[in-house]
Amino acid sequence: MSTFRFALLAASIGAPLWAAAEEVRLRSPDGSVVVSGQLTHFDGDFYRLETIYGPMTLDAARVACHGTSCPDPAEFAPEIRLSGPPALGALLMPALIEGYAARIGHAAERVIADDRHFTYVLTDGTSGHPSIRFRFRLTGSDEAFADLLAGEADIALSAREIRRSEVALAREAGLGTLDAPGRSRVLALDGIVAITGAGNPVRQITLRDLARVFSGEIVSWAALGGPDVPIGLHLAEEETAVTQSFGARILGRYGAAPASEIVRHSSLAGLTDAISQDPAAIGITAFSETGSAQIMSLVGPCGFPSVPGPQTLKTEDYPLTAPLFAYLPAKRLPRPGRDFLEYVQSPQADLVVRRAGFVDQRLETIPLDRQGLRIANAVREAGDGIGLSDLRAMVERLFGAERLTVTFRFEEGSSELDAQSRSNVPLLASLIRRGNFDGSSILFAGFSDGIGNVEQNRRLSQRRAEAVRDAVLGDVSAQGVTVETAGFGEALPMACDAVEWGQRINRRVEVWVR
Amino acid sequence: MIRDRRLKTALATFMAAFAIAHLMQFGLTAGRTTEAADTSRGEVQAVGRAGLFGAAEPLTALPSIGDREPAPPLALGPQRRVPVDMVATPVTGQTLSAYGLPCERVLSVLPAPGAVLRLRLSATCDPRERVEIDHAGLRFALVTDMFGMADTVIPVLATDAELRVVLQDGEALSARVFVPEASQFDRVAVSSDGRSALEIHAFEFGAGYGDTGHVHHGSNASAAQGRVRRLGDSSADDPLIAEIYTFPTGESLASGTVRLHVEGEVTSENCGREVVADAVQSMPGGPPSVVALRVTMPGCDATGDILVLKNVLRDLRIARN
Repeated sequence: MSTFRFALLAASIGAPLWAAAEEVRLRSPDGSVVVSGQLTHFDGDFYRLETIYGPMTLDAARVACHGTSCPDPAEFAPEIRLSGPPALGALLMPALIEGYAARIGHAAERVIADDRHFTYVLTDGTSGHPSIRFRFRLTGSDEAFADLLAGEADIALSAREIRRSEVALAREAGLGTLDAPGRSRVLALDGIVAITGAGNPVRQITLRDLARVFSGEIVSWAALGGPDVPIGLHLAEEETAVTQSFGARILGRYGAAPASEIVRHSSLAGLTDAISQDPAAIGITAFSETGSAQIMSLVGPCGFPSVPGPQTLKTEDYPLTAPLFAYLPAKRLPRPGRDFLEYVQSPQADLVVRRAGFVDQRLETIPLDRQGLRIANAVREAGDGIGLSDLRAMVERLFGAERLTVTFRFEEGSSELDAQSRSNVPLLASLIRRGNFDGSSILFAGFSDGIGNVEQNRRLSQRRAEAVRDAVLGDVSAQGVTVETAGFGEALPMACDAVEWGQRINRRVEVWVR
Repeated sequence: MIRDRRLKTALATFMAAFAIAHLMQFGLTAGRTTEAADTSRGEVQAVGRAGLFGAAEPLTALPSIGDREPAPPLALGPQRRVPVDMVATPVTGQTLSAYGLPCERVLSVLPAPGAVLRLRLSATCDPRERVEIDHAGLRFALVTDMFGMADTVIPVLATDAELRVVLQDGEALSARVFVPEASQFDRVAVSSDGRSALEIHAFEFGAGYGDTGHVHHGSNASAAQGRVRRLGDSSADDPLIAEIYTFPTGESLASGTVRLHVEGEVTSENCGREVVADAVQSMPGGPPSVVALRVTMPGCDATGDILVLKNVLRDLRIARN
């Protein structure tokens, strides 16, 4: 029966490497299993053979390979193929790979076929043997998923979440459920931002006006409080994740169609370079690719400017967050690949992410005294349902505590956590498990929007806080920490309830530690 | 101290025989040599003195690189210049050079303003020889002159700057200098075979091709904020040329992005072949990151074209001070 134990591990493996080679013979040490066939793949851990019985996968540790086509295990380096947009493929991942190489003491070599296709080879300095190869193809997020589905990539890098249709196709292709926990990693945080040329006096805009500008309804900066100069519109091509997301989340929401006179750019870098030289220009880009342009804040009808920055992206207090993902199909990566992914989640990698100009996921604390504006707003908004005693009770609970940047928010019109918040669940859980909060008290503080009945909102926010607590602490034993929940209802608004994005920002569970 | 006597002899011979400018500079640095020298084959370390004093002395007080200052007297008080000197004798049996000088190799490394090191090599018995310099992965080759002298200016890539000079017979002289000012600069370097040297092109704050902010070897250095220096001697056997772009981050009043391209001309020699290079990028708060590059050049029908690689070097992101 051992034959079956040997086979059927790691079912799907990528493109054949040893096409049209001579047959090899795989033999177990006791000779009870002998399989002959064409070697189609070897990843350092498993052999895959095309045999007369069909394809078979055998554990390399338990069989010996005989034949001239057998790979030399010492010389062998598994290859991981990555497809994705330039921000991830040309900037973030190479920085992480170089950081990883330095960490494990291997030399990094970049073999460049052309500007969009290159391979990193890491080599052990002492043995001189390559340890792993990362083959890159720079493309869009759409194409990255297509490569994954076609078996032409092992990891899809994406500036957006996977679509339902892509999840379904991936499942059909035997790649597992790609939107399930563990199938994706957030590599860095990012957001969608509006930019203007340096020197433009208009520094903030409402989402509605942004939709009006890009649909051609507003044509002069005068309508936005600037000089009477025509607005120059710039967007990246429609295939770009940022442009797609802007279309869906802003233009779509206001039923606006993009104007015909928009200048289109093939890359976000090209877009920001064009805008940075032209004060009358406006464009939509990623926070990680603002180049030398001027970033605009978002503002709601009742004030509350929301400024994109590392901290507001971490807290999602800036509404247009768009984390950067790596999607991993349900197949076993070779050992060095798994080691690399482990490194990507480490504090050392956070440092590399920051140095590469991206926003990492490291938790920060925000003391109460740096939240004066929020408290002032709460007092200003109080009176209608929320009384002074409610505010006093809330401040009592938060006094002397610090807010963590990790915040839990929900998908639009849903009680499901959004992508970034889902990735925050294991992040916070592992910090608690590792004892980072031992001796402290953690408060999951729920908040609601201001739509509807005050008392109902309070109960709703309490339930949300409890749900998040359960999700985080699910299987964590947390003897060292005191865990509490609170529902403050609509007491501490962060944005205008008059607009939909404001309501979404207000519906949240914050985490406070003392 | 046998070595001291030998140095004095060298100084005296120098004085008697040769040109004054060379004499003053090299004679004096040699005279102030304090570091131990291992004259056996292999690597010699000179570590420490400049590290201690280099940190304490404000480097901005130093004269600019191009200045030829008068040599200070030998016995003087607190010194502003803090060289690291390395002395070694060549491993060949030869004892005197063609000009009657004792065979000796002296490496002098002097920090200068702008986080650069001024390197001077005097290898009396190695005239017109290729020497290879390596600083944190930034590599280039020089050729000594008829007296065995070579000098150059090297932009520093890390505050704890290590420098290695390898002579033709394999002997290496090395020095280590603490250059705190290096943290004020962002630097990126590419070293490549001088026969098809790769160039760095920087585009500061949204500049386009040919704009003022387009900085490369040969662009007007004073107009932009950064500059590209080219190091190495293209006449060397097996030439090794480095280009290094420096942006003065510490004094930048602008914030934004500097985009960095690698460019190389497709020639009849390199077309369709692989060009080997090294890319070095300074990392704040750590050693610079070095990546070996192997670039496949376009086919020979593209001879005369310029290969532009936009994704090899990471853009510099500058925050306003």
